[in-house]
Amino acid sequence: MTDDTMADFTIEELREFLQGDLLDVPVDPAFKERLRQRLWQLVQEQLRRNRGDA
Amino acid sequence: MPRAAAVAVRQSSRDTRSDVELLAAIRAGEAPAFNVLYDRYFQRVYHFAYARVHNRADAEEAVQETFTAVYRSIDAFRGQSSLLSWIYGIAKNTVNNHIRRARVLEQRVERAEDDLVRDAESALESFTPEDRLDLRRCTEAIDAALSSVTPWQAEVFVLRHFEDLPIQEIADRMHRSNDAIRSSLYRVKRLVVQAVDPELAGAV
Repeated sequence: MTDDTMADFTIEELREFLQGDLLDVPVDPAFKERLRQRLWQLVQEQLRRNRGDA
Repeated sequence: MPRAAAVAVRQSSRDTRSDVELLAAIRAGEAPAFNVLYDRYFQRVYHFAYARVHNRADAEEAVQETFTAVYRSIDAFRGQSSLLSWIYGIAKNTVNNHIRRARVLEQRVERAEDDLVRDAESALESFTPEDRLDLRRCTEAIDAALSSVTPWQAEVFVLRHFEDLPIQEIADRMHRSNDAIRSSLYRVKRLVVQAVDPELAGAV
């Protein structure tokens, strides 16, 4: 799904998705930070491309 | 957690901007807005993936694929639906694809094992009891090594060593670079050799 067309899911599914905020799941903090840095790099590359100075 | 990171997390959880406002700020290059949106959705996506794949390695892979897909296509988001439902849709597709790929791999490994068993049965007739024991140890060692890596790494190994596919074709199929495929093959090969014959592992 690359644009914001509605996918095939229900309000109940979205509610379950939001409940992730309340649940304790074993997350590796190092993984979370590595991914944060990689994604921010990706965003910056896209912004540079959009400005045309890549 | 370093002090600066802890402060950033506290500020992140206090930020009351809407998803759309954060997205606009990210498009303007504002790093704090990116951090707030990432922290707002990380736990949701991670929990969603973990609840379906039931292990940390696969959950991390699915989370990484989801967020990469989100940020790669962020320019395409026009606000016709909420960002929440858009990200959920991507997470659902990504996790379902991940589970489908794992099932296909499982079936392929089972088929390859059936073929090996058939071939082995005819060869076994000429084997001594010691040969049979060695073969059994070897098969168990390979199974154990392949189940200790992520599904995509096991699939890459099977495609290369059981199906004889070239690196480029594997990279195309897996949507990964040639270097990533080579690096994965090297890592899994070391594990397999280590499991089958630890003395040889140093030479790989």
